[in-house]
Amino acid sequence: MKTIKSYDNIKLFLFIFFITTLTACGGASPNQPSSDINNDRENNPNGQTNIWFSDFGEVRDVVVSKDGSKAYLAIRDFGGLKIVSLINPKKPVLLGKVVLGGQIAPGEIRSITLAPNGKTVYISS
Amino acid sequence: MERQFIFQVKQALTAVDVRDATKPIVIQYFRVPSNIVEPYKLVYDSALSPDSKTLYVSYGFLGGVILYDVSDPYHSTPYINSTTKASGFSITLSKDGKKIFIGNNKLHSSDLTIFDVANPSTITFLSTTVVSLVDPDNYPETVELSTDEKYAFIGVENEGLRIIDIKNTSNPRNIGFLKQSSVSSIRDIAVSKTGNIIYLASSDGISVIDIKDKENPKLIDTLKTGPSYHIDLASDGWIAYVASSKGLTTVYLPRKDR
Repeated sequence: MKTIKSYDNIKLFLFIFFITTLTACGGASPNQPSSDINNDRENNPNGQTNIWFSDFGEVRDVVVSKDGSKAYLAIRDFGGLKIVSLINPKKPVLLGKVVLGGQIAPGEIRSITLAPNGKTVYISS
Repeated sequence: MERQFIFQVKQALTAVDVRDATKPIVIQYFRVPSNIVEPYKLVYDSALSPDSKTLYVSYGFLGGVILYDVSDPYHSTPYINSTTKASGFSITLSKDGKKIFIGNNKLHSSDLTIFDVANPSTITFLSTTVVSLVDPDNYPETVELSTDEKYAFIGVENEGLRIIDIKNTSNPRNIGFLKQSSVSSIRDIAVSKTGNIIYLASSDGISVIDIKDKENPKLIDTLKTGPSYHIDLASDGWIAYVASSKGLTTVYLPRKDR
């Protein structure tokens, strides 16, 4: 009986170890504070991570604001502009969007230019 | 008549007020200038002066580069008689906004053309350097400058990366070349903060190229981002953001690639 209990304890220990390891390897959670993200980068200077965000649609151009906090995306299938927050670079969050309208067909959007003063975006088509 | 009317009102450039990121607002549709005829009404590239008051727009082929006064983005107007007469495809400005570098394509020849635009109403031609040295019909897809502005990097369609010494903008020199892979198509170039690396966005993903020796650029890495259109770097140079057919990709750049 005592032997069986020890065996159960070992299984419990292995289970906890497995869960802890899995969580540690899982990367930043969507709610991870930006300070932790920066630590993540500094502690892993030679690492590389690719993350795909297909939910913004086909992105034809991307421009990052001077302070790195926002990205402006030209979206082909949406036919307009989307602005996303880069506070957590691994998990950009949509802030706002606008359809260009007018005489532009959605498939024609091709590039973005951000004014140095950060007030205006010019979208080519 | 109806078809002609549609062409006349079609805009190729749209200005959006982004001061409130949660509520971007379309504030102006730019009419294509009347001197540009079909089928040259596509905008290929644009660039802004450092003071955000002058917008340079390239219309490709015979359209050339048109300058707009955008001091008031709600009521922009083109400058009169100030086209550069270059068939601009890709354009970039020097940091001080006094020179414009145009990836130019004429019939059967592509080149880097440089103009002095210190005074937007009196543009001065400086030089032209042929960059399509394999096939004259290959277009200059993108132009970027080195961080010290002594070199221009040009992605030439179906050829690869050309490096031009522009220390003397009146007499630039072709000094370096890296052949692109047979299937890729270069769309954009970004320069690392160190100035030692450039990133080519192409149909292959992102090619990382060591340019410490400008005469012998070397491919050192390939980032599998899928078919990519454009790339921009965060201000600290640690992160690249890539526009691709699969969406927005965030890449944490390894130290060797920065």
